[in-house]
Amino acid sequence: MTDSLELADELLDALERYDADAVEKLVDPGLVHWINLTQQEQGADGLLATLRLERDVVAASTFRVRHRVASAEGFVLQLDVDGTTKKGSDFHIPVCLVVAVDGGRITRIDEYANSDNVKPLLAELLGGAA
Amino acid sequence: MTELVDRLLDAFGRYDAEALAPLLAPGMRRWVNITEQEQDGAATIAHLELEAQHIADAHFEVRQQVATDEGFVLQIVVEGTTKGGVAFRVPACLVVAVDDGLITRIDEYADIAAARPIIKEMFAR
Repeated sequence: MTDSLELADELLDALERYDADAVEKLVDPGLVHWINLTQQEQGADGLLATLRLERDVVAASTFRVRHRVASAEGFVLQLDVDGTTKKGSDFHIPVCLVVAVDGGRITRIDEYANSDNVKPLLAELLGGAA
Repeated sequence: MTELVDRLLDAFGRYDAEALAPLLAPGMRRWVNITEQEQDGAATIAHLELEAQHIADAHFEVRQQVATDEGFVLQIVVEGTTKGGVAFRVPACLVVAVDDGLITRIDEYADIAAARPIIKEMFAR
């Protein structure tokens, strides 16, 4: 399980920098990303595209690790993401990532957040359509 | 651990506060992302009792349960109807810490948009 926590740290580092290329190296090509807000699944391409979009609209952010723990299938990361969008909206998003790992690569991420918290970010990601 | 998970799911599934109470360690804390507030064991039990008063029926589906170094993670979907007749479907994630066979901490994540039907009835003036 120690290797899983090293992978957790690598994922966190990549997410903090909104570095889609770095995330891509950590995930299996068949990755499935599910998020409670939409209850929809997407693949690696979708996840990386979302990260690139977020990079384009976030001016500054910090990721605080509330808790991280290894699991029988990978790890769990509980984060608080605080930041400001390029249009000046502040956001504070507690998020939980339940991550499955196989062969040293991330195969699944189940993500949980509260829609009220993501509204400022979502509004800019969707160009005000949210 | 599996027995504790089963007992917890059983208590939640029946909104049975009396079944939940013996599973919680003294000093247990529950934190929820929706409020970002912590509550103790007594408040956790009281919250379940309050939900029981407003839920007509509910079904708990376990999407995933996995052991962690500290306890376990449960990903569940709770579907049901409030006593006011409003349907709800709430995916939730519970990150649970266990010590000496008792639950010491629950961190719960859900989307307020999904939980709103229940919250609205629980706290209606």
